[in-house]
Amino acid sequence: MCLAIPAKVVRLEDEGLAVVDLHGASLRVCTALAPETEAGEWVLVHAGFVIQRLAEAEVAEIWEALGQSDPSERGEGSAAAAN
Amino acid sequence: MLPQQFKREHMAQVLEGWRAAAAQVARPVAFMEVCGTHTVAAWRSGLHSLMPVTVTLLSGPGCPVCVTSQGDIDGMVELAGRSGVTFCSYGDMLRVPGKKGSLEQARSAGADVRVVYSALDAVGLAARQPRRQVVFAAVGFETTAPASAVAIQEAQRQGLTNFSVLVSHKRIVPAMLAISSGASPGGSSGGPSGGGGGGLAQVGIDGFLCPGHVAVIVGAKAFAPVVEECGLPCVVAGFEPLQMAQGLARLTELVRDKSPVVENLYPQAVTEEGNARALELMDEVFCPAPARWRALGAIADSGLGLRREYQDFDAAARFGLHPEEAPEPVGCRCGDVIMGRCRPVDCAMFGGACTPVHPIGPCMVSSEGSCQAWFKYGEGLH
Ligand code: SF4
Repeated sequence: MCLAIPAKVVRLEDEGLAVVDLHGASLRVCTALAPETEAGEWVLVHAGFVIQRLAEAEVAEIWEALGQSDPSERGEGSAAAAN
Repeated sequence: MLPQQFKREHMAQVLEGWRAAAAQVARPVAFMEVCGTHTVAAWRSGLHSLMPVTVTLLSGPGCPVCVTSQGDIDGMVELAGRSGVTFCSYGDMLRVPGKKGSLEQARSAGADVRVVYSALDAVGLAARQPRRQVVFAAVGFETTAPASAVAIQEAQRQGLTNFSVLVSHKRIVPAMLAISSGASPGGSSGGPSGGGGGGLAQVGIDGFLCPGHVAVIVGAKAFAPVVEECGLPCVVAGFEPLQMAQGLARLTELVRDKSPVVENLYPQAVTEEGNARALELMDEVFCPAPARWRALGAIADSGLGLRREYQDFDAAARFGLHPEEAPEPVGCRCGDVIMGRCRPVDCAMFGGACTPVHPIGPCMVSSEGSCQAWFKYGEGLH
């Protein structure tokens, strides 16, 4: 339940929401916990919330640590549950 | 990403340094991780079999599903069965058995139980179904609690009177303090895993591998009380086998050097201060409150209660629920497993009566539970 997964922000929406690309799946998440989130950057997503912004270089390592291949090298995939 | 060859060499170096440090300590040492993701990562990567023979890694109370008390689970199942209630929960909780079955069984019997991905999904349901009482099971550590806070504020903003929250959040640091108050540095001679039953004092540990994603929220400095009050080193580590090995090797060095400090080896995601906005929101809605943990019992300030301004959203009060402590399933040793007092395979039901398909205790239900991790990845290693 404490698993957080890196995702790339596709676009920001109204009311503190953003659409992220999570391992190839499009997901609407809340940015209330990280209001400075910007389109195009990588973030850590937990239970539908952005909990941290990430530098791009850190993402591959985090993906690998979670036992998944880096999505940027795959271009497809399924939604991973973050709980 | 680091090239694999480089990584293998780096891992070999870390293991070599770790073995040297462990030899210099000259006694068995035991560390505890308190994060379900670490539990799974350690088993999946085979880290246990790579460690120096004198080092033991115990899985502590880091799986939120596993530490939710039996009484709280019974309360959830009872509430889910009430007429007019739509009960929302994260998926992991669904199959945990209570005395009158699980949420999943309640759903089969006709209860309106929904799996939500986000706490805000439950608020959305309440807005769309004004005639139903929507209850959200707020479970999890500090990683998840800020999301519950946002959901409650959103429900208030929308003026929803049919949304409430059954709060069962836990704070990890008070639990670490409770565990380590019975454990003195160096108190693990003879190895803790052979300790058998008994109280907290019998869990001898020499330091904590701190939970990476909880630390994203609370910050590395939140673990300072464990150092100050208990003299145990704390290292925040990521989830890659190399990162975990580095964290454990560093803990071994800190024990060798008698230097109990907090160190952050996961700076990619964790800062010293944590996520200030998340902490602020959590503090607006919740205040520290006593909480009951499976295996650990009641611990002061280890949970979260709703602040006065948000009491209207308290599902327990709204529905007159008084969760009582209830015994664990007969024969299930989840309590001992959570405290590192026994291994999953020491439970007579492991792999026979209790499997991930037919789980008896929460440690086998949860994908982050020690019993399920051992069942999937650990067989044959010990
Ligand atoms: S194997 Fe099953 S019954 Fe035994 S401790 Fe683990 S969850 Fe409980």
